[in-house]
Amino acid sequence: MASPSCLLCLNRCLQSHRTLWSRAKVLKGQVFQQVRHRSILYSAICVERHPIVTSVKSKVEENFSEVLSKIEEENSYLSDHEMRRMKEQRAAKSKQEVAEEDAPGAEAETVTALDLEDKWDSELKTFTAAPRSTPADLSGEQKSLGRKLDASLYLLVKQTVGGREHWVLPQASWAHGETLRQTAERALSSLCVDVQADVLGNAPVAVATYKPPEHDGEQAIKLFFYKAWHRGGDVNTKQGLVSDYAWITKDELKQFCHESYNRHLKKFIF
Amino acid sequence: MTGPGLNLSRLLASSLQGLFQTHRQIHTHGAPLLFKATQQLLAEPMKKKKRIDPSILAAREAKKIKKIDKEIKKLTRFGRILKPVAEIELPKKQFTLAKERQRTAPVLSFEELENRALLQKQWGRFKTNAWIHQQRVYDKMIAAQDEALEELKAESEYLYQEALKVDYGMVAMRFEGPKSTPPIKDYAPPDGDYVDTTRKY
Repeated sequence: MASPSCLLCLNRCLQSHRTLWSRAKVLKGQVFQQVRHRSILYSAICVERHPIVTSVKSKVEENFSEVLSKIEEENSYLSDHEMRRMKEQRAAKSKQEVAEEDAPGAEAETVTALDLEDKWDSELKTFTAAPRSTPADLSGEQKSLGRKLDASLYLLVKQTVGGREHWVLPQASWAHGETLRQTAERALSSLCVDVQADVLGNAPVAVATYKPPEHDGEQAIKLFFYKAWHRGGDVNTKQGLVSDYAWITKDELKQFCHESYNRHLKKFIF
Repeated sequence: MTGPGLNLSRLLASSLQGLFQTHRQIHTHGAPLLFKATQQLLAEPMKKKKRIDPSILAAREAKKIKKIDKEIKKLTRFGRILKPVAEIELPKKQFTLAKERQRTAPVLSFEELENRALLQKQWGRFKTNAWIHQQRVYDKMIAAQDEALEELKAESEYLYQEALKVDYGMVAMRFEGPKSTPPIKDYAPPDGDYVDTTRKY
């Protein structure tokens, strides 16, 4: 038989436990409600600079394109230039066979097809195309937009997120009265002042959700990603809003971003 | 006794009935060889020519003349404008598919043909794999967007409806694909800049 003091103690313990339990239930409900209707919304913008130069063909593509052009040539008809060249060749041959004493002046006036071809070849030689690999490629300067011309480059910035600095796509928190797309555009214009980009559509391309453990009391976060095409301009770090930036390819993303963030980037960066 | 027109067979039969009663008029031919008073007539008789009011006739003629005058006027106005070169249609066969323009068919060795066939198979496999990969990418992109829209809907109906709206600004968006070499900065073409002067209707 327990002593009355013990019983009292036990009862009190039970009571407090009960209240704790009910309080927890109420709290759970509140937290659940918060998660359902009140996550903090963020909008991030993925600015993509598309390739400026075609990618190198693979072996199969190279071989097949060669064979296709050969077949096309075989099945084609003669062009005006080729007809002219053939006619002149035949005329030249016939002139050679026949011992002639023509007036020398007459031949010098006409421009033959072969002359034209030589002229065109020499004209082509005077032109030098820009090289496909730039000095930025050699130096490996990751801030340069002229790097890796045959691949897509994505803009990453070093931004303070949740108190710490991370390499992320430029993001901003949603403010009341604007759409998520406007938030994304605001993120770009406020953080990367001079960059011009066309956002592709009103709908986000992916979402990253963060649901904290229930009794933490933290709010859930939803980060919506928008895709944009780069039209011109580069990041200006003098404003002080971003400490650093980089234009990197999709293979280099893992060098910069956190693994959990990269997981979400893979949903729309291919 | 068939056929229109006047033939004398009936007359003959009726007039001579009394005289030659014993004779029977049996004709084994469909149309016995008898004289015919008129030609074989097979058409309907001519219609009567109606008199037309001369004023109406004159009006008809005037209309024809007016039409031709109008066309002459039109030609004199537009005839001077030359057809744009892009619209000139040359007789295709004469200029491009003439026999003299055909190449001599090259003789391909057996190895070359085999190589070509094998390369086509290889290409087919390559392209199929590329297509399958691309379809997977599309599926992933669509799934990601659907997930995003679902989460947004759970958050706010207003924002969700805004996200679903069609962006008509995208209609005017233009994009130029990659070339084989990058553009040269401040390049001055030797022939000058190309300005398109095609007439837009």
